[in-house]
This record gives sequence, C-alpha cells and structure tokens, in this order.
Amino acid sequence: MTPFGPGIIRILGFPLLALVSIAFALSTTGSKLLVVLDPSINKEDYSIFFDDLKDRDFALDFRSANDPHLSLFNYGERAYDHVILTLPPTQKALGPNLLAKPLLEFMTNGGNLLVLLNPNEHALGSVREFARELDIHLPFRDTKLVDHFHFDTVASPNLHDTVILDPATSLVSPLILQVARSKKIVYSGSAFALGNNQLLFPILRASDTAYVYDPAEELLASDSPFVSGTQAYLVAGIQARNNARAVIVASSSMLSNDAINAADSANRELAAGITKWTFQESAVIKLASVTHKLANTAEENPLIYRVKQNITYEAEISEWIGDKWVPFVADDVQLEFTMLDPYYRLTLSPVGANGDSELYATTFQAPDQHGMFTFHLNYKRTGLSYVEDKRTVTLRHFGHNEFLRSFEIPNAYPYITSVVLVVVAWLLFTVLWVFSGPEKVPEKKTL
Amino acid sequence: MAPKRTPRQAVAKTGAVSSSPSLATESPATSGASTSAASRIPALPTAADTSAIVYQAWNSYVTDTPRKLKLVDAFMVFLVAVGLIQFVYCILVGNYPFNAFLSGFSITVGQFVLTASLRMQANPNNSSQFEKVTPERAFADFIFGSLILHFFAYNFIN
Repeated sequence: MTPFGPGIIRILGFPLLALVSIAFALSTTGSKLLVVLDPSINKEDYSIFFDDLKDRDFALDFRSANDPHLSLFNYGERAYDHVILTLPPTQKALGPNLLAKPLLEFMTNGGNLLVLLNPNEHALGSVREFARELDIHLPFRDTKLVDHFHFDTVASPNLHDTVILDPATSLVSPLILQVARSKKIVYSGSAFALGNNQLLFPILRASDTAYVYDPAEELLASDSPFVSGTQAYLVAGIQARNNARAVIVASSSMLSNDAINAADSANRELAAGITKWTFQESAVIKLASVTHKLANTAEENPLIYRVKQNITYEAEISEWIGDKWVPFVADDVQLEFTMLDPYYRLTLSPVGANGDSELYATTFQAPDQHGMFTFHLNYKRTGLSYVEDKRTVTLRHFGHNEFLRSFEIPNAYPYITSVVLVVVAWLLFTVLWVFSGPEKVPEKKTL
Repeated sequence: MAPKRTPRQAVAKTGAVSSSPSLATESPATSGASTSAASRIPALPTAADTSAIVYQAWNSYVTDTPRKLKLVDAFMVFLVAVGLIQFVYCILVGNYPFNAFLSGFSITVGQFVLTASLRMQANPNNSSQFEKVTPERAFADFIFGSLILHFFAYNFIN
C-alpha cells in the first residue's frame, strides 16, 4: 500500500512508483525468510522477484525441499519468520518437515507462509491437505485456466492458456495494489476455488470468461469445469485469528522474469503487493493502548464502577506503513459494553492523532444493571490485522447513601409536608392538652 | 334513662312530626282508647327521621363531650384528612419514592392509633376499665410513642 494517492501514478509513471513501493517496506514480524525451492525451478528465472525481496531487507535462505536438515522449528521456536514454498513437479511429497501439520503449527506460532503452486503439477497431497484446512480447494492435476477472449496471442495462440487479466476487475482488494489502468497481469496456470471461511482474503480472481478444465478431456470441459468465471481464484490468502497470514498463488510462473518483463505487465507490482501483505509489511494495524476511566477524572482503569456513572473509553490504533507506525483513521471502530449480551454498542469517534497512533474515544452512561461488564473492542476487517481487546470491570449498585434524597425528588414534596404538618399539629395538640384546665362536669339535665 | 314525660311534652321536645313516643311513656291519665291503638304500630323511618337522628347525635356530642376529648377528636380528624390526601395523591401520580409515601402515610396512621388509645385511656367515663392507668400515665405513653413514631418517619423518608 503506497503512501501516495493514485493521482501521482499518472504523473510520475511506473518506475518511480515501483521504486517507492519496493524500497520502503519492512516486516513487522521479522526478516528471516526461508525459500524452499525444488530442483526444477531455476533460481535465475525468478531473479527479479528474489532481488526485490532482498531489497526489502529480508534474509533469504534457499533450501531444497529434500534437504534433510531443513526444519521450520528450532528447539520449539520458529526458526524462520516467513516461508516461501514452491512445489516440485516430480516428487510425490515434500519432506516430513513440510507436511500439512508442521505448516499449520508454523502458522499457529505466528509465521507467515507463501505457497507457490507449480503450473503443471498443482498440488501434492500434503499441500492439498494444508489448503483444505484453509478452506481453499486446489484444482486437479493437469488442469489449466483458459480464457478464449483475453489471452496472450504471442505465447499461446492456440490453447489460450496464457491469460491476460485486467487489474481493475481482477484485483479484489485495494489493500494489495493500485495500478494504472493501462497495465495488465499475465498468468499461466490453473485456478482454485474458495470455500466460505470468513477468514479468507481473496486477492486475484479470473475474468468472467475464463474457466479451468483438463485439456486432455476436451469433451467433458463444457459439462463440468472445475471452476469458472470470477469464482476461479488465482491468488488468495487467509489471516488466522493470531494474525498469521498465508497466501496461495496458483502458479509460480506469474512471478517469473518472463511474466514480469512482458510488455505492460504489472506482475512485478503484484508480486510486491502480495509479498508485502503476506509478510506483514502492509495492512498491519495494532492497538497501541486502551484506557477507561470515570469521565473527567484522572485515575485510569479502575476495577469498580457504579451503575449510571459516566465512563470514558479511549483506544489508540496505529498502522504500519512500511517503516514506521502512523495513526490509523477509520470511522467504524466500535466498542461493546457487554455482560453476556452487549448492553451498548458504541462507535468510537477518532479524536485526533496522539504521537504515532490515532486516539478514539467515547463517553457513555453505565447501564442501570449491576454485574461484571466487559469493554470489548473487536475490530476485524478483511485484509487488516485483527484487533481485539477485552477488559472486565465490576459495576456495583448504589450504596445506601447514594440514592437521591427525598427533598431532591419533587414527587415527594406532599409526603414531606405531611410529616412536617403532623409533627407541628402534634406539638400544638400536646400544648393545648396540657394547658387546658380541668373540665367542668356537665350537669345532667333533669326535668 | 329519659325521665317520664307526658305525651304532649314529648311531642313538643322532638319538634317536627316524628314517630310517636314509645308506649311505655304514655301516662294512663291522658291516653285514651282511641290513641293507644294507633300509636302502638311504629312507623317506618323517613328521610326526615334520618336527618333528625343525625342532628340529635351531633347535638348530644356537642353538648355531652368533655372539651379535652373534643380536642383529641379534632386532632384525629385532621390526621385522617392528611392521610387521605396523601393516599389519593399516591394513586393519581404514582408511588415513585415509595419510602416517602410510606413514611408520610404511616405517620398519620400511627399518630391516629396513638391518639385513639390516648382518648380511650383518658376518657373519664372509662376510668373503671383502666384501673392501673391514670390519664396522666396515658398521656406520657402517648408522648413516648409519638416521639418514636416521628423518629421513624423522619429517618424513613430519607
């Protein structure tokens, strides 16, 4: 994600944009990058891709898939921060350290993963299993993505299996990349289908007129393509709940030098955008601090509040733009004040920048119900890091001396006056009783 | 224990047309055979009879009650009025500060009860039933109870 707007692309053109977007980027989770290459891939065919990564201060470690000393873990800790995995066409499986389970454990420990499928042999059993964990359904072997309307007439005039994608319609999210309209994306390979997992982040999809089929079975293609149209995805990612990211690219040839050097291709920028998202260099936000307190007081984060008190909640959120944290401004950050169910759901309004983070605040009156309440800040947006924070406080009921006094309630005035009246009349009565003289006994009337 | 009167005097005393006096008060000298038969059947009470009864009751109250008891009765009527006003107000407007309503209402009710017991014990006509309690002792109890009641009402109304 570039710090400049789209207008400047037209002014300065592509080269400056590429330099800017490639040079200013550091990962927030580390720079140790493992690249697992299979012998069929010639490293020189991807030199531009790897050089761009090196420019972004990644320490690349190239290993072969059947290296016996390769392990993602070192004494229980992650040995690498990121992994790029490329799949060999000839082997039946990757080594025991790269099966689905170690990959998932690597993600559970916070590592990021970029899987580049082979254009011809799309998935081995272990990678297919790993992708199924992410609810991504990889295509069968020997299938190809074909588009009879947008294909590269030079590279595949007959089979139409080198497709041209228009970034404006094929790029799903603006978080990855913003390119000039004249650029196109060159792709040759297959495509996969996505499931319904809400953690998925689709990045690049095929155009309406494309479909995936097995060229060896032409007759069956029209009946049952594996996936077709905009449901065919070429690049898709997932962000797990611990903010680890994994992206599957359906063909590694999209990142090769040939594709990058093709005329008008935006593949290099796309590669940069994909790797930046995957390796936590872009679209990363964090919660810098959270405080809650009684409105207009200074004590922060008390443990106990009382019902119907005014409470102020403040949160600070920052965004990483490649080399530093800056304020992250959004208008849909919400706070839930919850006890089993949210009693309040309030929008936090951005108040202003506070150093390198943006301050969001709201003030509300605690509900008239005592109990254990939680301030729950839950900000999960597709493509951005997940931000979640829970703080539990006690809401006590009124103390016996905190209720309104009767003379403060106008409704009680008649009762107050009656008490006063009765006491005054009683005083009068006792005085009159005491000071009235002895009775003259009334004579009985006789006739 | 009305003294014997002649029928003429009895009629004069009760004023307007009223039921004939009871047969027991007729003196044999003046009663004739003609009037005795007619006056033995009592007539049904009319509206004029009811108002006459009320008037007589009120009259005898005013004349026969000692002054002190009349003072007590006036106080009690006042308490009833104040309590009634509060009750009607609570029904109309609602009982939001319920403790205030209870406090105001109960001070009138409690004071009424204490005053009633004072009236009972201090009435000289009842002295035969209260041998151990002199009127002064009754009044002292009345004051003691009233003070406790006022203390409660003042605290409960908050």
